[in-house]
Amino acid sequence: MTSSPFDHRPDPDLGRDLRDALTAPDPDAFARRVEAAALPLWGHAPIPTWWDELSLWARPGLLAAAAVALFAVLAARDRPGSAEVEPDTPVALLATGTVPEVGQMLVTVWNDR
Amino acid sequence: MKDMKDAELAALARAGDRDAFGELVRRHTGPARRVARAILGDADEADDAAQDGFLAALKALDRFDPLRPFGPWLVRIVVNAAADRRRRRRVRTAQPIDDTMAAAGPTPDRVAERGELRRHLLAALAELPERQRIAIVLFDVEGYGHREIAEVLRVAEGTVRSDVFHARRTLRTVLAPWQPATERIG
Repeated sequence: MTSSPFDHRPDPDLGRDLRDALTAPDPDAFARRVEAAALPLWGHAPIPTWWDELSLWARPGLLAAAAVALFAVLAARDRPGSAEVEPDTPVALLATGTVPEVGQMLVTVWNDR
Repeated sequence: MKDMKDAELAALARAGDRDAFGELVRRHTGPARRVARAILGDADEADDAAQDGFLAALKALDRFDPLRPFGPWLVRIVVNAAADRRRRRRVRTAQPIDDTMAAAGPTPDRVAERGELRRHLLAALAELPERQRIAIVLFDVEGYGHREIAEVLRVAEGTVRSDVFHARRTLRTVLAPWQPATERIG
Protein backbone atom coordinates (compact mmCIF):
# COMPACT_ATOMS: atom_id res chain seq x y z
CA MET A 1 0.00 0.00 0.00
CA THR A 2 1.36 3.42 -0.94
CA SER A 3 1.20 6.27 1.51
CA SER A 4 1.34 10.02 1.55
CA PRO A 5 1.14 12.67 4.29
CA PHE A 6 -2.36 13.39 3.01
CA ASP A 7 -3.55 9.83 3.54
CA HIS A 8 -6.45 9.98 6.00
CA ARG A 9 -7.06 6.24 6.16
CA PRO A 10 -5.48 3.82 8.61
CA ASP A 11 -3.34 1.06 7.11
CA PRO A 12 -5.16 -2.14 8.15
CA ASP A 13 -2.20 -4.46 7.49
CA LEU A 14 0.31 -2.41 9.41
CA GLY A 15 -2.28 -1.74 12.10
CA ARG A 16 -2.95 -5.46 12.53
CA ASP A 17 0.73 -6.32 12.76
CA LEU A 18 1.42 -3.50 15.22
CA ARG A 19 -1.56 -4.51 17.34
CA ASP A 20 -0.35 -8.09 17.36
CA ALA A 21 3.15 -7.01 18.37
CA LEU A 22 2.12 -4.52 21.05
CA THR A 23 -0.83 -6.24 22.71
CA ALA A 24 0.17 -7.77 26.01
CA PRO A 25 -1.51 -10.94 27.26
CA ASP A 26 -4.17 -11.31 29.95
CA PRO A 27 -5.91 -7.92 30.05
CA ASP A 28 -8.21 -9.08 32.86
CA ALA A 29 -5.26 -9.80 35.15
CA PHE A 30 -3.85 -6.38 34.36
CA ALA A 31 -7.19 -4.72 35.15
CA ARG A 32 -7.35 -6.54 38.49
CA ARG A 33 -3.81 -5.42 39.24
CA VAL A 34 -4.70 -1.77 38.56
CA GLU A 35 -7.83 -2.01 40.69
CA ALA A 36 -5.79 -3.48 43.55
CA ALA A 37 -3.18 -0.73 43.21
CA ALA A 38 -5.96 1.86 43.34
CA LEU A 39 -7.30 0.64 46.68
CA PRO A 40 -5.12 2.96 48.81
CA LEU A 41 -6.25 5.92 46.72
CA TRP A 42 -9.89 5.44 47.65
CA GLY A 43 -8.85 6.03 51.27
CA HIS A 44 -7.97 9.62 50.45
CA ALA A 45 -11.53 10.50 49.60
CA PRO A 46 -13.78 8.28 51.71
CA ILE A 47 -17.51 8.65 51.59
CA PRO A 48 -18.22 10.24 55.01
CA THR A 49 -20.25 8.25 57.52
CA TRP A 50 -22.81 9.78 59.90
CA TRP A 51 -20.18 9.61 62.64
CA ASP A 52 -17.73 11.58 60.46
CA GLU A 53 -20.42 14.17 59.92
CA LEU A 54 -21.09 14.42 63.65
CA SER A 55 -17.42 14.85 64.43
CA LEU A 56 -17.22 17.60 61.82
CA TRP A 57 -20.01 19.41 63.60
CA ALA A 58 -18.72 18.81 67.14
CA ARG A 59 -15.95 21.39 67.25
CA PRO A 60 -17.90 24.38 65.89
CA GLY A 61 -20.80 23.27 68.11
CA LEU A 62 -18.63 23.42 71.20
CA LEU A 63 -17.30 26.81 70.20
CA ALA A 64 -20.82 28.10 69.68
CA ALA A 65 -21.92 26.77 73.09
CA ALA A 66 -18.94 28.44 74.73
CA ALA A 67 -19.73 31.73 73.02
CA VAL A 68 -23.37 31.58 74.15
CA ALA A 69 -22.32 30.75 77.71
CA LEU A 70 -19.86 33.60 77.77
CA PHE A 71 -22.46 36.01 76.43
CA ALA A 72 -24.88 34.87 79.11
CA VAL A 73 -22.33 35.44 81.85
CA LEU A 74 -21.50 38.91 80.59
CA ALA A 75 -25.17 39.81 80.23
CA ALA A 76 -25.91 38.69 83.79
CA ARG A 77 -22.97 40.70 85.05
CA ASP A 78 -24.17 43.90 83.37
CA ARG A 79 -27.70 43.67 84.81
CA PRO A 80 -28.68 46.39 87.36
CA GLY A 81 -27.87 45.30 90.87
CA SER A 82 -25.16 43.00 89.83
CA ALA A 83 -22.37 45.54 90.17
CA GLU A 84 -21.38 44.17 93.54
CA VAL A 85 -20.81 40.79 92.05
CA GLU A 86 -17.18 39.89 91.96
CA PRO A 87 -15.68 39.41 88.49
CA ASP A 88 -15.90 35.74 87.82
CA THR A 89 -13.32 33.57 86.24
CA PRO A 90 -14.53 33.73 82.60
CA VAL A 91 -14.36 37.51 82.70
CA ALA A 92 -10.93 37.27 84.26
CA LEU A 93 -9.87 34.96 81.50
CA LEU A 94 -11.06 37.42 78.90
CA ALA A 95 -9.21 40.21 80.65
CA THR A 96 -5.92 38.45 80.00
CA GLY A 97 -6.19 39.38 76.32
CA THR A 98 -5.51 35.85 75.16
CA VAL A 99 -8.04 33.49 73.64
CA PRO A 100 -9.21 31.16 76.40
CA GLU A 101 -9.25 27.43 75.79
CA VAL A 102 -12.75 26.21 75.09
CA GLY A 103 -12.58 23.31 77.53
CA GLN A 104 -11.36 25.49 80.35
CA MET A 105 -14.09 28.01 79.61
CA LEU A 106 -16.82 25.38 79.66
CA VAL A 107 -15.63 23.93 82.98
CA THR A 108 -15.57 27.37 84.49
CA VAL A 109 -19.03 28.26 83.28
CA TRP A 110 -20.38 24.94 84.45
CA ASN A 111 -18.85 25.41 87.92
CA ASP A 112 -20.29 28.91 88.21
CA ARG A 113 -23.88 27.71 87.74
CA MET B 1 -22.53 -0.75 34.03
CA LYS B 2 -21.25 -2.16 30.73
CA ASP B 3 -23.87 -0.10 28.89
CA MET B 4 -22.84 3.17 30.47
CA LYS B 5 -20.84 5.81 28.69
CA ASP B 6 -17.30 6.61 29.72
CA ALA B 7 -18.32 10.02 31.03
CA GLU B 8 -20.98 8.45 33.25
CA LEU B 9 -18.49 5.91 34.59
CA ALA B 10 -15.97 8.68 35.20
CA ALA B 11 -18.54 10.65 37.19
CA LEU B 12 -19.35 7.59 39.29
CA ALA B 13 -15.68 6.80 39.83
CA ARG B 14 -15.07 10.37 40.87
CA ALA B 15 -17.82 9.98 43.48
CA GLY B 16 -16.08 6.91 44.87
CA ASP B 17 -17.58 4.06 42.85
CA ARG B 18 -14.81 1.47 42.52
CA ASP B 19 -16.76 -0.72 40.12
CA ALA B 20 -17.11 2.20 37.72
CA PHE B 21 -13.38 2.76 37.82
CA GLY B 22 -12.82 -0.96 37.23
CA GLU B 23 -15.05 -0.84 34.16
CA LEU B 24 -13.10 2.16 32.80
CA VAL B 25 -9.85 0.26 33.32
CA ARG B 26 -11.17 -2.81 31.49
CA ARG B 27 -12.40 -0.71 28.58
CA HIS B 28 -9.15 1.17 28.07
CA THR B 29 -6.58 -1.43 29.10
CA GLY B 30 -5.67 -2.33 25.51
CA PRO B 31 -4.84 1.15 24.17
CA ALA B 32 -3.14 2.20 27.40
CA ARG B 33 -0.82 -0.83 27.45
CA ARG B 34 -0.07 -0.62 23.72
CA VAL B 35 0.83 3.07 23.80
CA ALA B 36 3.01 2.54 26.86
CA ARG B 37 4.67 -0.41 25.14
CA ALA B 38 5.33 1.67 22.03
CA ILE B 39 7.06 4.28 24.15
CA LEU B 40 9.03 2.03 26.48
CA GLY B 41 9.61 -1.16 24.52
CA ASP B 42 9.74 -3.39 27.56
CA ALA B 43 6.41 -5.09 28.29
CA ASP B 44 6.71 -5.14 32.08
CA GLU B 45 7.80 -1.54 32.25
CA ALA B 46 4.97 -0.61 29.91
CA ASP B 47 2.46 -2.27 32.23
CA ASP B 48 3.90 -0.33 35.16
CA ALA B 49 3.56 2.89 33.18
CA ALA B 50 0.01 2.06 32.09
CA GLN B 51 -0.88 1.40 35.70
CA ASP B 52 0.71 4.70 36.72
CA GLY B 53 -1.44 6.34 34.10
CA PHE B 54 -4.67 4.79 35.33
CA LEU B 55 -3.92 5.78 38.92
CA ALA B 56 -2.99 9.31 37.88
CA ALA B 57 -6.23 9.50 35.92
CA LEU B 58 -8.20 8.38 38.98
CA LYS B 59 -6.62 11.17 41.02
CA ALA B 60 -7.34 13.69 38.26
CA LEU B 61 -10.92 12.70 37.47
CA ASP B 62 -12.19 16.04 38.73
CA ARG B 63 -10.30 17.67 35.87
CA PHE B 64 -11.83 15.43 33.19
CA ASP B 65 -14.25 17.29 30.92
CA PRO B 66 -17.24 14.93 30.42
CA LEU B 67 -18.09 16.67 27.15
CA ARG B 68 -14.86 15.36 25.62
CA PRO B 69 -13.91 11.72 24.94
CA PHE B 70 -12.32 9.85 27.83
CA GLY B 71 -9.90 7.76 25.73
CA PRO B 72 -7.62 10.53 24.44
CA TRP B 73 -7.64 12.17 27.88
CA LEU B 74 -6.47 8.92 29.45
CA VAL B 75 -3.94 8.20 26.70
CA ARG B 76 -2.42 11.63 27.23
CA ILE B 77 -1.89 10.75 30.91
CA VAL B 78 -0.45 7.34 30.03
CA VAL B 79 1.93 8.95 27.53
CA ASN B 80 3.16 11.28 30.26
CA ALA B 81 3.55 8.41 32.72
CA ALA B 82 5.52 6.35 30.19
CA ALA B 83 7.69 9.32 29.24
CA ASP B 84 8.46 9.89 32.93
CA ARG B 85 9.57 6.29 33.27
CA ARG B 86 11.70 6.52 30.13
CA ARG B 87 13.43 9.61 31.46
CA ARG B 88 14.09 7.91 34.80
CA ARG B 89 15.66 4.76 33.42
CA ARG B 90 19.33 4.76 32.51
CA VAL B 91 19.61 2.11 29.84
CA ARG B 92 17.38 1.75 26.83
CA THR B 93 16.11 -1.81 26.73
CA ALA B 94 15.02 -1.98 23.09
CA GLN B 95 17.32 -3.94 20.79
CA PRO B 96 18.62 -2.34 17.58
CA ILE B 97 17.53 -3.76 14.26
CA ASP B 98 19.72 -6.60 13.03
CA ASP B 99 20.10 -6.05 9.26
CA THR B 100 21.44 -9.54 8.54
CA MET B 101 18.46 -11.10 10.26
CA ALA B 102 15.99 -8.95 8.35
CA ALA B 103 17.60 -9.86 5.02
CA ALA B 104 17.72 -13.57 5.72
CA GLY B 105 14.05 -14.12 5.01
CA PRO B 106 11.67 -16.32 6.95
CA THR B 107 11.63 -20.03 6.35
CA PRO B 108 10.49 -21.63 9.64
CA ASP B 109 6.94 -22.53 10.49
CA ARG B 110 4.17 -20.02 10.86
CA VAL B 111 4.41 -19.60 14.62
CA ALA B 112 8.09 -18.88 14.41
CA GLU B 113 7.47 -16.44 11.58
CA ARG B 114 4.92 -14.59 13.62
CA GLY B 115 7.36 -14.36 16.51
CA GLU B 116 10.12 -13.11 14.26
CA LEU B 117 7.86 -10.58 12.62
CA ARG B 118 6.75 -9.31 16.02
CA ARG B 119 10.33 -9.01 17.18
CA HIS B 120 11.40 -7.11 14.08
CA LEU B 121 8.41 -4.85 14.20
CA LEU B 122 9.06 -3.95 17.84
CA ALA B 123 12.72 -3.34 17.08
CA ALA B 124 11.84 -1.13 14.12
CA LEU B 125 9.29 0.73 16.21
CA ALA B 126 11.91 1.33 18.90
CA GLU B 127 14.12 3.01 16.32
CA LEU B 128 11.49 5.61 15.49
CA PRO B 129 11.35 8.95 17.28
CA GLU B 130 8.96 8.70 20.21
CA ARG B 131 6.36 11.06 18.75
CA GLN B 132 6.22 9.03 15.53
CA ARG B 133 5.76 5.83 17.54
CA ILE B 134 2.83 7.25 19.46
CA ALA B 135 1.30 8.79 16.35
CA ILE B 136 1.36 5.63 14.25
CA VAL B 137 0.06 3.43 17.05
CA LEU B 138 -2.80 5.80 17.77
CA PHE B 139 -3.60 6.21 14.06
CA ASP B 140 -3.17 2.73 12.61
CA VAL B 141 -3.88 0.60 15.69
CA GLU B 142 -6.28 2.57 17.86
CA GLY B 143 -8.12 4.34 15.06
CA TYR B 144 -7.65 7.87 16.37
CA GLY B 145 -8.02 10.78 13.98
CA HIS B 146 -5.24 13.24 13.26
CA ARG B 147 -6.94 15.91 15.34
CA GLU B 148 -7.29 13.64 18.38
CA ILE B 149 -3.65 12.61 18.12
CA ALA B 150 -2.64 16.24 17.82
CA GLU B 151 -4.46 16.97 21.07
CA VAL B 152 -2.83 14.02 22.81
CA LEU B 153 0.64 15.01 21.64
CA ARG B 154 0.02 18.77 21.90
CA VAL B 155 1.32 19.37 18.38
CA ALA B 156 -0.19 20.69 15.15
CA GLU B 157 -2.36 18.39 13.06
CA GLY B 158 0.08 18.71 10.15
CA THR B 159 2.85 17.47 12.41
CA VAL B 160 0.83 14.36 13.16
CA ARG B 161 0.28 13.71 9.45
CA SER B 162 3.99 14.02 8.86
CA ASP B 163 4.81 11.75 11.81
CA VAL B 164 2.42 9.04 10.61
CA PHE B 165 3.78 9.28 7.07
CA HIS B 166 7.43 8.97 8.12
CA ALA B 167 6.72 6.22 10.64
CA ARG B 168 4.86 4.18 8.02
CA ARG B 169 7.61 4.61 5.48
CA THR B 170 10.25 3.44 7.96
CA LEU B 171 8.25 0.47 9.20
CA ARG B 172 7.30 -0.68 5.70
CA THR B 173 10.93 -0.54 4.61
CA VAL B 174 11.99 -2.63 7.57
CA LEU B 175 9.15 -5.09 7.10
CA ALA B 176 9.49 -5.43 3.33
CA PRO B 177 11.45 -8.71 3.51
CA TRP B 178 8.68 -10.08 5.74
CA GLN B 179 5.84 -9.08 3.50
CA PRO B 180 5.03 -12.64 2.33
CA ALA B 181 4.87 -13.78 5.92
CA THR B 182 2.78 -10.77 6.86
CA GLU B 183 0.26 -11.61 4.20
CA ARG B 184 -0.08 -15.17 5.42
CA ILE B 185 -0.51 -14.16 9.05
CA GLY B 186 -4.03 -13.14 9.71
